[in-house]
Amino acid sequence: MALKRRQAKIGAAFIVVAFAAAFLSMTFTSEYTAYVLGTVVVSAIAILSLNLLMGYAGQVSLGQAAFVGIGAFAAAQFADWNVPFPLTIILGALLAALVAAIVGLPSLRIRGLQVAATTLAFGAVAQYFLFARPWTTNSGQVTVNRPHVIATDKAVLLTGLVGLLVILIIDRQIRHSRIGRAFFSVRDREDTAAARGVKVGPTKLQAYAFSGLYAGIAGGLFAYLLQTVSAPSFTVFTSLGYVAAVVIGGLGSWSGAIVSGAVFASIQQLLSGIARYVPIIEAGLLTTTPVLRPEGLGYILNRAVFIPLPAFKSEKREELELSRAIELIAPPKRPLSLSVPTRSLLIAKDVGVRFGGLVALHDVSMEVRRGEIVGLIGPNGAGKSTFFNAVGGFVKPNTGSIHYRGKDLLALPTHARAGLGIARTFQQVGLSGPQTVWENMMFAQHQLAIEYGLTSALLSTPDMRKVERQLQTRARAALEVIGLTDYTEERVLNLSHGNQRLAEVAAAISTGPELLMLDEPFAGVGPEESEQLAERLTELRAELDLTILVIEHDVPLVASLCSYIYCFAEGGMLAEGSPDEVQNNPDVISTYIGEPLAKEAAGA
Amino acid sequence: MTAIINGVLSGSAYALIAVGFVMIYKGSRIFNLAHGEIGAFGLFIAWYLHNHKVPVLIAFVAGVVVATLVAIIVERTLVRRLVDRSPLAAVASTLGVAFVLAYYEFLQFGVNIKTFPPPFGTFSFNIGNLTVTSSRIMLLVFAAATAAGLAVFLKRTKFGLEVTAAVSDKTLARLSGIRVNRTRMFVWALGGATSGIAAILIASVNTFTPLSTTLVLIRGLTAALLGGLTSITGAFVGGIAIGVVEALVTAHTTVQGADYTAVFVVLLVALLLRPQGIFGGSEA
Repeated sequence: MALKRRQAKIGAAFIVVAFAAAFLSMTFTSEYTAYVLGTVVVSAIAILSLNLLMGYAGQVSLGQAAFVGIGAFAAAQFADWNVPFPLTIILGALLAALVAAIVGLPSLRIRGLQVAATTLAFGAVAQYFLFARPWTTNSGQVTVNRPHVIATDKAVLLTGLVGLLVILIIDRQIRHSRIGRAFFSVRDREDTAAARGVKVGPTKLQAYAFSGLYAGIAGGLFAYLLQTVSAPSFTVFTSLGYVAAVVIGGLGSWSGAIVSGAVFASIQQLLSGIARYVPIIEAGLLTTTPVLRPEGLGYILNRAVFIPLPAFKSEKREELELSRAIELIAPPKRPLSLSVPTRSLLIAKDVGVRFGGLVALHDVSMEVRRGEIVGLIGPNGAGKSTFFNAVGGFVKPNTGSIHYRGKDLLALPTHARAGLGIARTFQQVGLSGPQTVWENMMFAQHQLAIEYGLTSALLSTPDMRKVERQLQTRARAALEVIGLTDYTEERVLNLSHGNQRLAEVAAAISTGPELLMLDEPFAGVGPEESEQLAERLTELRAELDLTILVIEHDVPLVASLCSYIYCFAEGGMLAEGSPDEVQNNPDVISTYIGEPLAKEAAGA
Repeated sequence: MTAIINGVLSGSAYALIAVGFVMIYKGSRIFNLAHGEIGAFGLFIAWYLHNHKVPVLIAFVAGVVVATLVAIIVERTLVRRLVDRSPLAAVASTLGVAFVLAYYEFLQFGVNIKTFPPPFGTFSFNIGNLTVTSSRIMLLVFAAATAAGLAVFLKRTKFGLEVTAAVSDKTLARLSGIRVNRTRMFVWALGGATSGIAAILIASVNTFTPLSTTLVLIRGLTAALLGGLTSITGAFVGGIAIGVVEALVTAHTTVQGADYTAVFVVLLVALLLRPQGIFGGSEA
C-alpha cells in the first residue's frame, strides 16, 4: 500500500513537471513545432478515449475516429454559428458523447465483439456519409476560423495541453471512484458486477459517453489546429490506428496510451523519411504485442518512470484486532424497511426453472431464518447453483415466488438485489483476475459507493472522499477477518484457487451483507484454512447476526457449520432438517452421501 | 426488379465473405479482422502472377492457395497462442495482421486502380438492362455452394461435429479425442480459401486498390452479424440481404454513402430487435 501510494505520488509529480516544462518551453517553440506538438496532443487525447472504452470498460470500438470527427465537424459548425470559442469544443464534445452512447446501444443486447462490428459499420457510415456531407455543395470540406485568443498555433497547443490535463484529471477521478470500478467489473465479470449492484447496461453507455466526450474534445482541438475539417482525416483506418496505439500502449494503461500515441504521431510528423513506414511498424507491433508482452508499453513505463523506491521506513501495517475488524464490517445503515428485525429473511415457494425442455429446478420451497447458517447440499446438477441464480436474478423462475424480507425478489432487477443486503459468491470465482485483491475489494462495495454521484466523483468532493475512506476501512477489515492481508496487492489471477475463493468471500462480507450466499466457498481451500473460514463465519454470525446460505459438498463440514440443511437432487427437494436428520435420511444416503461416508459422519 | 437481381449478385460477394468469417468464428470463437485482407493478399499474388504471363485460372488457384496458407500461418503463430489467454488480444493481433498485409500491398503495389480478368471466361448475358458477367454468376455459385457445403459438413459429418464440439468445451473435447488445434487450423484454412476466392472474383467484377477490400469486409461482417454470427445459412442470407438493400438504395438515390447508412441502420435495428440475429439462437 505504502509503496503504491509513493509510486502514485511520483507519477503525479512526473505529470506536473512534464506539463510545467511544456508550458514553459512554449515561449521558445516555433510555430511549426507548436503545430506538430498540437497534433501529438490531439492524438494522445483520441487514444485516451479509446483506452477508456476498451481498456477500462472492455467495449471494443473499431470506429473511434468517427467520434473524433463528430467533435471536429460540430466545433467547426458551432464556430460558424458564432458560438464563442471554448464553448464550440465543449458542445462538440457533448454531441460526440451523445452519438457514442447511441452507437453503444447494441451493447445492451449483444456482447463484446459483436458490438465491435457495429462500431466498425458506424465508422464507415461516418466516413462515407456524415463527413462526406453529400447534402452540401462545398465538397465536404469545412473551414474553421480561429478567434483572436487562439490565433497562433502556439495558442492552440496551449489549449490542447489544458484539454489534455483536464482529461487526465477526469480519467484519474474515474479510475479512483466507483465510476471506473464499475467499468472494470463489467469488463471482467458482468454477472458479478450486477450482483454487486452495478447497473450493467447504463454503465456501458456511460463508458461510451465518456469515450465520446474525450474523442470529441480531441476533434474540436483538431478543428482549430488544422483550420479545415474534412472526411479523409477520420477514416476507418484512422480508427484502426487508434486501436493499434491502445494495444501497443497496453490495454487500460493511460500512460502507455499517451506515449504510444505521441511517439507514432511525432514520427509521422517529424521524420518524413520513415513516415510512410509508420503504419506497417505500428501494425507489426500490434500483431506481436499481445503475444510477446500483453501488458504493452505501459508495463515498461511503469517500471522505468515509477521507480520502486526502497521503503525507507519499515512498512508498518497497523494490526487490526479481529473483534474490531468484525465491528467495522457491520452492515451499513439501510432504509428502515430493511433494518427492522424479521424472523425469516428468505422465503422461496414452489420455485421452478426450465431451460427449454430441461427442468433445472422444480417445486423448491425453503425458508432461511435470520441469524441462521443454512446448508444446501446435493449431487452435481441438483440445481443448487440454479437456485442461487434465481435468488440473484440471473435466471427467471417459470413458477413460484421468492421473497426477501417480504419483498418480491422476482419483481426486482438483478442489480437492485444487492441494495437489499444480499451478497453472494459464484461457483466460478467472480473476481476480476487482472486486478489486485485490494481493487476487487473496492469493486465489491459498489452498492455502498452509490452514495456519491458522478459529479462528486469527478470533483473529488469531501463527501466522496469520506465514502471512499469508509470503503477502504471495510476492505481492510474484511481482509483481516478472512486472513488475506498478506495478499492485498497481489493480482487475483496469481493467487491459488483456494485463496481466490477466500478473497471472494472477503469481498462479499466487506459489503456488510445481511444475507451471505456462498457457492462452494471451501472448494480448493486447504483443510486448515477451511477450518479457519468456518470459524470466522460462525463468529460473523454471532457478532453481526449475519445470515448465511452455503452450498457445499463436504458433508461433515456443512453439518458442523449449519443449523439447518436442505438437500437437492435432480432439481427437486430431497430432504430437509437438522444436520442429523438429513445425514441419516435414507434417501440422502442412497443418492448423495453413500453408506460408508454416512457412517463416518455419524461416528464423527 | 433489376435492382433486386443486381443486389442478389453483389450480395453473394458479401455472403461468401460472411460465410468464411462465420466459419472461423464457429471454429475458434475469434473475430478474424484480417479475413478480408488475407483474401486480398491472395488477390495481389494472383494479379502479380497474371501480370507475369501466368494463365488467369492458374493465377486464381495460386492466389487462393496463398490466402489459405496465410490463414494457416496466422492461426498457428498468433491465434493458437492467444485464444485461451485473451480473446480480445487475439482479435487485436488479427487486426495487426490486416494492417500489415494492407500496407504491404500498398507499399509494394501502389495505390493505382487495378483490374483482374474474370478467371472463368468472359461470357456474359443480359437480364433486362443488367449485364451479368461470368464472375458475378460464379460468386453466387461459390457462395451458395460453400454455404450449403459447410452447413451439411458441420451438421452431418463427424469432423464437422468435432469442429463445433471443440469450441463449446475445449477440455471435454480434448478428453474425447478431438484435436482442438487441428480443427481450428482446418476452419482457418477454409476461411482463408473462401476469402481468397471472394477477393479475386470481386476484383474481376469491379476494379480494386490495396485498401478497397476492407470495405467489402465491413459488409461481410455486417452480414455475419445480421445472420446471427454462428449460422452459416444466416450469413449467406444476411449477405444477400445487404446486397439487395444496397442495390435498392442506390437505385433510388444518388446521395453518396447512402448505401452504407442504410445497411448500418438495418443492422442497428435488427440487433436491437433480435440480438441473436435472424438465424441465431439455435446455438447460444
